[in-house]
Amino acid sequence: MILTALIILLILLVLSIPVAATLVALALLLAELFSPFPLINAMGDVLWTASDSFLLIAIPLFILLGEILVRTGIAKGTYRSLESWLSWLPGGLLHANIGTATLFSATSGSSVATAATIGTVAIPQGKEMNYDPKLFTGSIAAGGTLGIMIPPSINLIVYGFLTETSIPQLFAAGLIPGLLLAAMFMLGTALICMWRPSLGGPSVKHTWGDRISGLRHLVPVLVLFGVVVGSIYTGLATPTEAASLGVLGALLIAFSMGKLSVDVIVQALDGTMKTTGMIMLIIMASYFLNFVLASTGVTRELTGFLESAGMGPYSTLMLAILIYIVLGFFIETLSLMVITIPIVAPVIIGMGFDPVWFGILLILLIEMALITPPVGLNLYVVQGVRQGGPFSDVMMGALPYVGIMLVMAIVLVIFPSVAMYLPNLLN
Amino acid sequence: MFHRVNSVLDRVLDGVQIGSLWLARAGGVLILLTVVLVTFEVLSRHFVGRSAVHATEITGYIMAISASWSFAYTLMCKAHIRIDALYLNFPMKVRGVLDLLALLAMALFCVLVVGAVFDVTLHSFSGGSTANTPLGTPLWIPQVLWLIGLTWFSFAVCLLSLRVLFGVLSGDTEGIQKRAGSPTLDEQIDDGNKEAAR
Repeated sequence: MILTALIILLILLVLSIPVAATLVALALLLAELFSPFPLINAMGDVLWTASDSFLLIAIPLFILLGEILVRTGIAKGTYRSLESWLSWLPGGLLHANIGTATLFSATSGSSVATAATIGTVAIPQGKEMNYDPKLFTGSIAAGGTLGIMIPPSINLIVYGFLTETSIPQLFAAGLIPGLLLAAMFMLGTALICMWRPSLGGPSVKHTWGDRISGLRHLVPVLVLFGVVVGSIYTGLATPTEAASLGVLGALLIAFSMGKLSVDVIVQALDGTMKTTGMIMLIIMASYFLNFVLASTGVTRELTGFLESAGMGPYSTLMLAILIYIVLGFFIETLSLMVITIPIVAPVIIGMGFDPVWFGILLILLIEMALITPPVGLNLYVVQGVRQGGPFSDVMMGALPYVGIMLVMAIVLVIFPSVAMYLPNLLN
Repeated sequence: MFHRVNSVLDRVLDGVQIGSLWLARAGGVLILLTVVLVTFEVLSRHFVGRSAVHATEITGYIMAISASWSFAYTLMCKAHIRIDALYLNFPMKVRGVLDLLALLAMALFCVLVVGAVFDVTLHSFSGGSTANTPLGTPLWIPQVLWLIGLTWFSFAVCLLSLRVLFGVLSGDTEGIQKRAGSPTLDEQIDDGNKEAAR
């Protein structure tokens, strides 16, 4: 029965039926099959509970924060400044790509915006200095994915909302793995460029004067990061409050730099509402599916089925990881999350894994989906910014970073404390 | 005949598109209002020691309302998520049929959701339900605003379905792609570039 339902789900998705409609159809089908009560009667109330949410409003706020940063050009200054600090390393500008992505993602929740912004600044410079296009574009696409791991992250809020996991805990857990992944990206890049210098490009040395004077470009981003994440970690503000303060801060910074206009605000709001509509519709649908799965006990059955098939906690986890890697080739990240979380997360958590830890592992796997073809959104964004040259360049260039992410996944499974150290400290 | 119907529907849809944009902008203003409310709340908590504006409750309503007001705009931007890995490999004719299927599924979804939400709102109104909070807001007030957004969204979906249906019947693949086709990679990339170039 469950298998039939899952097959129907897959068929609807493959036919490109909107994800929200598919999830509700699946929920109603499961309710019909497994519940003695007509669960559809509760639909209105469940949808209201999902929508009337002080927590979820953090999502449009963080989107707005990122929109303001992108549209006022604050991100471009960040790249130039980091380039002066990092491009002496073997691999030169590649490190600036990753570094900017790391810093920028710390304030904006969007991977695509991060990749697009860095791409427009970096690619012309890389071409001018004759960098090999493969690793150069790959590092931008991969760096852009850091945005959903390093807090504040919209994807972590979605996970927390659907699994009822504490957002501050998740935000605390994402920081070290996110930074570690960025460091591994840079180390990997440096090693590759030492082994095959032709894959990189010239290192550039800047004077200390340049570096110090460039620091002022980092101030806005660092201040925003401090306000948003600092106020959450210290318990001064909830994620929603921190997001509000962040938007206010970004508006003030843009205003003080003379880059704020009515036009910019309207554009930022339009972009925010478009993305909000996209995310909220599937969250509402997924929340209803969540409700149906919980009320019918399908999750218990699934867990029982896995256990009777001789699957222990770790083999189930491996199966889940494998499923995410395979689905990640074909399904775009946010849909991948809302489709799978109601089904997979309760099973994994029920087998004794920590929900916060699993959230971080899941985000890592989702990040991988962003740069694995054929459906790797970041790859296309970078290719689009680049205008010209074979797409396979970007694909090949991102491969080493996919490898590094796999290593990181193994590290997370073997040493859960990489993620859990900070949240435990906060407790 | 189809050609005339298509052009009339196109004109109506242009109007709906503008209406949806302004409804979404109104939602955006509500989001900005949230920033103000929440900032006041944080400040008053720290300096006065108590909550001044009940931001938690009000912003919850704002979330529901502004999200529902954005759905139609997202639809007009073709941004409601569909898995298009396979879709993009089909010829345009097949894609048009899939677009129609997608919209009909969405229309069905809308009918269910609006029906359910209408019942909840009516129940809140006739039962006089109030929020279990210091404000004691009568729940039907935010729920009516929420319902308006969802109803407008349904209206847009139905109209668009009709346009795509006639598009399929008259073989107007171009018109369908422009209105309802899953955004091609080029379109997505263009969007990304426009944002980044600013």
